[in-house]
Amino acid sequence: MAMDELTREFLIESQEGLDRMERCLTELEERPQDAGLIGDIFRSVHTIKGTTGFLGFKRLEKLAHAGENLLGLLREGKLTADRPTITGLLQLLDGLRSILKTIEAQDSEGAGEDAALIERLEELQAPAKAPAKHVVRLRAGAHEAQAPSDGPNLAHAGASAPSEAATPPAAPAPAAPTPPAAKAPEPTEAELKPAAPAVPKTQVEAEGEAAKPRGPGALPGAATAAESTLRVDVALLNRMMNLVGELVLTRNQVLQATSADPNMRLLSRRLDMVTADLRESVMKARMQPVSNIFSKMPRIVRDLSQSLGRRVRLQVEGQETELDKSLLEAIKDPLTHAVRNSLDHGIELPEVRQAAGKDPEGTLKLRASHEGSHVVIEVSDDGAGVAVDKVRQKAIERGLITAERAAQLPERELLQLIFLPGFSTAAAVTNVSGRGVGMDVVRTNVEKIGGKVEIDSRAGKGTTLRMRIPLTLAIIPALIVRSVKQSFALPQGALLELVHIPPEQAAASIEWMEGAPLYRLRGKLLPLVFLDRLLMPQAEHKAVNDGDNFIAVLNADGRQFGLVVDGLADPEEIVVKPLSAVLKDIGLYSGATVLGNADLALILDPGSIALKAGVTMGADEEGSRVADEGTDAEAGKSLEYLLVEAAGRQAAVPLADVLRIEQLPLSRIEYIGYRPVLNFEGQLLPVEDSGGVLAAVEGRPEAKIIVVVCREGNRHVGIAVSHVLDVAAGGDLFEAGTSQRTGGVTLLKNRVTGVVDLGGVAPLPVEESGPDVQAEFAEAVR
Amino acid sequence: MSTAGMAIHRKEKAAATLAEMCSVRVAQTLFGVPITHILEIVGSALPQPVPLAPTFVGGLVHYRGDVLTTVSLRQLLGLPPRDGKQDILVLECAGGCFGLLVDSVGEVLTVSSADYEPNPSILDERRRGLFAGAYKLKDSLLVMLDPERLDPMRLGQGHAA
Repeated sequence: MAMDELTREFLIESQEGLDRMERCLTELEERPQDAGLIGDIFRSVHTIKGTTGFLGFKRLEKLAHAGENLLGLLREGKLTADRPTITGLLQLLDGLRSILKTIEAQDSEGAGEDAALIERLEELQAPAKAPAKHVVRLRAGAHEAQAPSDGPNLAHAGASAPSEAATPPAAPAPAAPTPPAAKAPEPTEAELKPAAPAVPKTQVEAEGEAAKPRGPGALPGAATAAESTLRVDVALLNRMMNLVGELVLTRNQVLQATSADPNMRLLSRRLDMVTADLRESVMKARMQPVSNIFSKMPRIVRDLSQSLGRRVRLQVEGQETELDKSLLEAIKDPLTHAVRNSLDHGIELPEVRQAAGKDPEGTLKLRASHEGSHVVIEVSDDGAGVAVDKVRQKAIERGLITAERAAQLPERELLQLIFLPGFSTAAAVTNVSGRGVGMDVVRTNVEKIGGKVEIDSRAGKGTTLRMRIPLTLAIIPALIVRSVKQSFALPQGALLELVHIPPEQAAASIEWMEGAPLYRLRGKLLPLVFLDRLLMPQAEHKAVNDGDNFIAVLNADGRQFGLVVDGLADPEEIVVKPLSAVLKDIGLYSGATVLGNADLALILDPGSIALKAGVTMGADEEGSRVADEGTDAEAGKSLEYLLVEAAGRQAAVPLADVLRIEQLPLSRIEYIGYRPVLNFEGQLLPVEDSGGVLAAVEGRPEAKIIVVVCREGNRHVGIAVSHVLDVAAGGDLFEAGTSQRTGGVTLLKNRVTGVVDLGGVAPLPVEESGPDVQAEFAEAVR
Repeated sequence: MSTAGMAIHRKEKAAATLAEMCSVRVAQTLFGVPITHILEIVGSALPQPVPLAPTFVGGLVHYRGDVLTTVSLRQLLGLPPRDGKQDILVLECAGGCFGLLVDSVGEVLTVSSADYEPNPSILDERRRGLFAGAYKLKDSLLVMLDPERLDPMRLGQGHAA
């Protein structure tokens, strides 16, 4: 049904107003005296009431009016915002919402009856009625009209004024009628408002009587905020995003095509900069703060804790963290579910808590934060935690896992079992949760958008559910790998680490167990999948010792395996393009992309590869240590480090910065002046050798050295080391006395280890050649 | 490929029996595709092969910001694949767009329905499913292709069955 522009705008604004109201109401419960909050709530309802009268929605108007009366009393301090009042106001909110929904669907208010609710709202005003009159009299005669008993009159004044105020064609938005009305009583201020003088003076006065006590508050401020923002259709933003994606591709191609031409270089660098900026801006335009969904939670927590008899305090952190709109939509349900779960299964009843020596009031914490290219959203409670034994027992009972395997699994992994379909440990099925369609739905929803979810729980202490959400869907970082003479893109999200196997070591490193290739990764067996054999089962394959092999250690939904490819190229940010259905059916590819060199590359789907190759959760028992290492960094807040040894001393390199590890003969190292550099097909990499590794093998060009290639800002740098020892989580160290966190060192495997300062690696003279055009340019502008 | 021939002038002729067909060549045969179904002709493209794809898939090409699946007419007809660059007709069908890989694209021919003949009965099963009859030209036949029948989705279903 065609809805006129005005109604549509009214609906959007009213919904925003109600969202704001809901937020304020839950806050009000904690700070019942906060006049600012009451003022905010009042304005939301007042705006709705004013505009409805104008649009002719009588039912809505009547209900809003009843609420406004109650709020008016609250604002004047004649009533305090106690629990029943807030409950009543929340009911009002629901009532208004449902009418708005009806209007949206049918373009009419529907025939519902709100008498009960209105009556309830009037009852709530009762305590204030008697004293109210006195107060009103004391102020000014005109205010008598405001006395609650004078309801019908007021309804008339309130309804007619906005409609008259809006008569001048100058009033563009439904919000506009209210400011002049509220402002009118002071003629000087009214003149400042362009719309106000057009309103017949008498009517303004009439409205003034009713409106003045409502306080000519923060409305002007709200108006200016509205002027500097613009509503944009999401479809348009999507289209812009696609076009920017195209531009990124074209830019990549231009950069590659013009890199040799000095005249074009400056131009193409500028193109590069502008494209990057544009992309960021468009992505930003789609971003919305998580507070958009967090703000729904106080209400849910309030209602649920009341119906479940829990006492819960909600803490929210990182509300301003932004996330792509579509992703925000997608995590709304999982988040709600997680919150419900925490209240139902997590936080105990007050008595139980007290008996356990805990604060009878439980704490539910919502936290959003950035972590690299992800946003991490945590829902944590200090409740009973998940009983691992119960999980184990249940999993065995339901046949989700064998008893012997359950006995072997570490606690952490056992906990993740609750994400399996059909798992619920709730003793009784409540109407809140426990129907067995719980956590697997959370996981499915989060994984659908490329996120990850995991749970961490201590019995008796509480549970933390952690969702890692990518910042955007359309552009993902990927590693470009080569196999069967083609390029493929491997999403970085699934990539744990890379292992290079030189041809002469291939026979020894890759072991076969009756036809199943395996690799010993730090002492544990990792199942291998050869990409070429998987993709071309019929063709002849090169022997493993014929050329280099690279193992990309992947984690696909908890399944660890190594994907063996022939070569690695640089990581690239790729724009995901959908594939036609006939190719999607193959199952191995999740999309395609155009690389910087204009080549097409298929995007591999690690999950399907694992499935196709028969790698299952069960098969990675041996690899479970790898799993631990892969997730430990996320569990604690500690960083993971690559532990290296350079000329007898140990040092740590932040693992997040490590791009790859190269083993090469000393002869590959060249020098600019005294500075060692590595030449990778024209890309020059400065090599840091503070450990004296190069000096130690000087004069033996065939000696092998290891270079850890790291990311530092936009450039890449190499660190020369003699051995790569391990990957471990670093612990914090504090200066004695001051207790300040120390920089540059970390605790690795209980040893104080220096962290290599990547920023300290001196930049290359950029005009000659650079490792990265972007970095080069960035330096040029500085 | 004669690009000049692509400059299509649609003459609004009164006789509804005339139609314009883009002629393409695969091996020895001249095929025709109604120009109304052609979005664009991409010359000398090098499609990216897709491992494990059904044989009729000629690979992927980058087309206006999208990744286009191509159907190789050669492979559909059971002919050996041709190395090197090929021309691509970007066709529109009910299910979306796809590319048709052909050896070369020729000129646009105006044909009259008077010269149309349906598929002969001795044509083998597979070709009968792909072709939509033929127009008799002065010295050869123009074998008609129906873009709907070449839709990779549809071919994929046939392939699976």
